[in-house]
Amino acid sequence: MKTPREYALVIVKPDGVRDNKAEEVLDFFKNNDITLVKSVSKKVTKAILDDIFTSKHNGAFYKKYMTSDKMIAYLMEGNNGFEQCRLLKNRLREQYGVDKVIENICHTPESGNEYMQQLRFFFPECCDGKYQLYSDVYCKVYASSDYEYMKNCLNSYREKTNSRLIFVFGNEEMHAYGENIAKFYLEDEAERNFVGVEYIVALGKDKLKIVGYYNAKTISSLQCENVYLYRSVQEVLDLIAKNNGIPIWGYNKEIKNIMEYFEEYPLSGAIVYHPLYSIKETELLREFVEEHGMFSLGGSGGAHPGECSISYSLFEKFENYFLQSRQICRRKIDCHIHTKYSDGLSDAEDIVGKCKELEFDCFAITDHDTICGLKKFEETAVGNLIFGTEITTICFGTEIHVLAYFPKVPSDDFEAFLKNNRIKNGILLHRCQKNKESNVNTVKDIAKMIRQYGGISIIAHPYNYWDLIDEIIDDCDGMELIYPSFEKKDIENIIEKYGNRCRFFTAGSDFHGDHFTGNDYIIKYCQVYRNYLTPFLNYFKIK
Amino acid sequence: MGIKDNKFETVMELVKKTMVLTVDESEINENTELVDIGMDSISFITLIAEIEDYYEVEFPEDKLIIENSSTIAKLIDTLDYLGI
Repeated sequence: MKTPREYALVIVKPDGVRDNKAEEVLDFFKNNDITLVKSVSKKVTKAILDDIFTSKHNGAFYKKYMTSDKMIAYLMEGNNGFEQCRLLKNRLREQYGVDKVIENICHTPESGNEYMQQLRFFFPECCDGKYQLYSDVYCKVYASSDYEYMKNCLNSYREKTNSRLIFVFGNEEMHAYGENIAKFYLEDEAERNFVGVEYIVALGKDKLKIVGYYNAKTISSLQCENVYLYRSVQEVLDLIAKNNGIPIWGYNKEIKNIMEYFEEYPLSGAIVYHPLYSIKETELLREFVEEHGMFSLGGSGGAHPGECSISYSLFEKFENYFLQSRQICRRKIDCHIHTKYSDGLSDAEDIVGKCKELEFDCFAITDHDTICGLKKFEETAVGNLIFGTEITTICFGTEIHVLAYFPKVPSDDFEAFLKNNRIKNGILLHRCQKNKESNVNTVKDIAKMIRQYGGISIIAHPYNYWDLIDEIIDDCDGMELIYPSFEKKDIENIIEKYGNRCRFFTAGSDFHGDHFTGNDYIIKYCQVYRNYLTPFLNYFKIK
Repeated sequence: MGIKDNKFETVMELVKKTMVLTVDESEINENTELVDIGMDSISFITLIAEIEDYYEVEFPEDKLIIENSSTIAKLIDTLDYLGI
């Protein structure tokens, strides 16, 4: 697909100007299909530096350098221009062999407010809405009972800017004027468009804003309620999920609220770029959002439509995510399930059927010391089923359970091995009970065996033998991170202590009962800590 | 020979103690496969544990597999190997 034309800023920093590199920099971009719209030479004063530039290096040296000389700003244009210029900037620095973090020839701003501020400073005449980035995803507008009036308003906003406007309506507006809004999008010619609905949740003293983004073409079937203030985030998330939407944190005056509540309520992204956020706040929020695998979006949020907008590359990520959201939005994972083949109460067929019905992204049957129930599912090629077993081992007199996961069912001699292992462990355990100072450790041998059969080894419920983890972790490939009895602090403790020593983390309910319905606790935390589960999912090629 | 008889009797006693026999004791000899007369993996574990406790020995790892310790003769061989 051809990428759209887009504007970008490239700013030659004082060292580049001083060394007469400005022309060369411009030529470099021109040679790479970026065209120049305008240029200007201007000196930044100390007073406004902080308002328009973000930098991790905020010391006196940085300030002195940035204000030491004039800068030359180029307003550029090109296909996917914003991202292209960012990439070209890095290549240019490489070419010049620049590895300094501050004096590095040239600069390209971030999406959203940094671009907005720098455009305003260097090219104030270009702030008429025609030189914005690709999309204003948070363009808050009002609906009306007068359809023609509303339509004219919305269309006039579009005419005033080059930015693609994604309109966001308040929940109560959507409830009152939903029919008009639906009609507008039905007549609308824009392909693959989205609509946002903003919900407000009152939690104690805090008011949190959450936007649900929906496919514009299905907006007529959107279910909404006549509620101005919601009392629970979960209620809003359920409503958005019911309507096949994506939940995003809206603009929240206190960004610490988003950071606090994020852990509890994992949303897919956040409005990070907003005219009312300072550049510093945006930077903090953006880093937090990225660290947690969420999306950074942004928009004008009540200011002039298009005034604050995001680059095509950010928008494209969001759009792709939207298209696949059913898979990603709520990752359903459970890699620790027992059946009648060991001490569970369910038939393996029922578990597999139920996991399919509940659209699990990834699940594993892990009976104790056996893989005998798995062969029949290999033929039927159930997607997303990982073949597993929970193997009994011993370390210093304590029984340790090691989960083994295989991309395909291991050969029959593995079953014989498991049987012998179980017997051997029974006897070893008996010896350990007699002799309290036993130093038997079979974890290493088992992990090696699992590897020989093409599988990976994961320590099950590590808190059952937390004191021994140091002894065994380096022999295994990872451990269970999410488990019904683990609270948030337990999960974080594992990440902090063993994050570097685990190749994989997994999540599992250790289900033993009948009537499997999925474990909401596990699924919820899979969403929160999804980044940590990714290596495991990638290993088993689960999308 | 006398010592061996003694071991046979002791092991036989422990076999009787740890599993429910499916045949009459008189039908069992040194080479009877114990799995044919009612031994399963759990009773195997208990049997080895009992033998180890009685003689105060530890079987080598390869003898902790049913196939390698499946008759009274094989068990006695192991005890011989361990110097009993």
